[in-house]
Amino acid sequence: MALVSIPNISPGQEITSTDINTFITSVNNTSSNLNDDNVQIQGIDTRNLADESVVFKETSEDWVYKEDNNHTINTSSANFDILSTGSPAKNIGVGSQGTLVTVPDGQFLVVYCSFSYYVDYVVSERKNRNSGDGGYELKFKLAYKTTASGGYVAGATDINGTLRRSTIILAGYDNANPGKHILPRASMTIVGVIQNQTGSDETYDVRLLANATRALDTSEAVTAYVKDVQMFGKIVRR
Amino acid sequence: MAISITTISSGAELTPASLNDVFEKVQEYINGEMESSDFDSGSAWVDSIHVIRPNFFGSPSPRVEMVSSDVHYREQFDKTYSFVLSNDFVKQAIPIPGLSASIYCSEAIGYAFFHCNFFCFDSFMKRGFGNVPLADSAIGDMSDNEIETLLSAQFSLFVNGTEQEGTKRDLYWNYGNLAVKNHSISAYVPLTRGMNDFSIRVKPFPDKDTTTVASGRNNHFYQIFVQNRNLVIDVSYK
Repeated sequence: MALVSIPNISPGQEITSTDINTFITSVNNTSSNLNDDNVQIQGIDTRNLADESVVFKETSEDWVYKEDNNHTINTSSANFDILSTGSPAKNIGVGSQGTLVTVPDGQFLVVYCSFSYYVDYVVSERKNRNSGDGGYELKFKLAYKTTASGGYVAGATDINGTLRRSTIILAGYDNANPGKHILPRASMTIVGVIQNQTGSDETYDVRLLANATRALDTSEAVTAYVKDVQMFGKIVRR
Repeated sequence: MAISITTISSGAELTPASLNDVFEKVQEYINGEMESSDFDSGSAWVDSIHVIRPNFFGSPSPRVEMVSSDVHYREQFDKTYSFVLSNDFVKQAIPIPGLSASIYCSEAIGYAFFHCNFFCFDSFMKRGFGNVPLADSAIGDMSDNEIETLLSAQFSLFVNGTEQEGTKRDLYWNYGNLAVKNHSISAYVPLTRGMNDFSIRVKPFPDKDTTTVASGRNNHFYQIFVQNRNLVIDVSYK
């Protein structure tokens, strides 16, 4: 506990440098020693907190991705892939636009990804609902890398608990008239959390990965799109 | 910089100026110049009891005001509070009760993390217009496989009257209530001090719009319903 001693000077007493220095030294000694004994209950309010002392947030495109246009899901196999749009390509992600985001040791990176999606309107890709293909399945998940080198997907680590599956077909007729079905469009929000436990500051490139295939034949890819997307992140300090 | 007051040399004359200098430095230290280095960092001694308690507010603007952030919320889980909009009421995007909130940002800069979910569908005017079963020469005269192409409404997040990029969500023909939607939107919005208006708005695509409706029929959809819904706005200051 930091305590300050005020000299007790009596009337008529000579004031010496010792009296003042005792006081000065006690004040100087409070530095680095202020603790819970010096802070009253409910004594900390907004004014005592430095900017971004609880949550670190940025508005740059490294931290906030916004885009209305289509991002094509065109996986050539059952693998997941990143989603991009425009030229030069913009990738759906946090820390994915050229500069990875830095997370201090022990702190949490929380990412949110909210978007619309749909399967391509291509007649040749539509299938008879009785043919056993089971419609289309779109899968999404969040993943991260800590370096910018190499291909993204091969070196990426999945964020646990973020995998989402969506079967995007509704049969709407009877067996006597096969082939009548609906391709509904939908939206989704995924939230993921990463804690930096490396012992030092670490950089992250977090992205939305997607995969679109026949539901019952995942070797057969279909074309689908993600659009109207926002993906953003913040650091929650411990 | 932590406080460091120079002590008075032994034998030096105590002058009003030297004494005032000491007290001024103490005054500045106590009145706001303490820094993080002045606090004991040997242990994590700040506990929840040291932080000023949150304030909880109910209707009409339910929220929690806390030391580093405010959380505002709205919800409607009862179908008697369904929001119903005829497609020929308006052509503009209008706010949805239960998905709208006017909030006060109490710091010069705040960062809003907006999240919402809502269940919606459109209802046809007559039973025969429900587009079920899905077959050629039936309602809409579409091809065998019905794709959601005919828009009945679009939802977007508006903040202070401005539509936010990447937040559009689509609602199409109901297809006999098969294509109901549970939409979600997350968005990141920097704020400034003062009132800020958040609203999910819906823009109906009205009748008589022959560019989006199959020839010969222009009233396949009629009423847009928004039922169970909620939103959370986390405004982070520190």
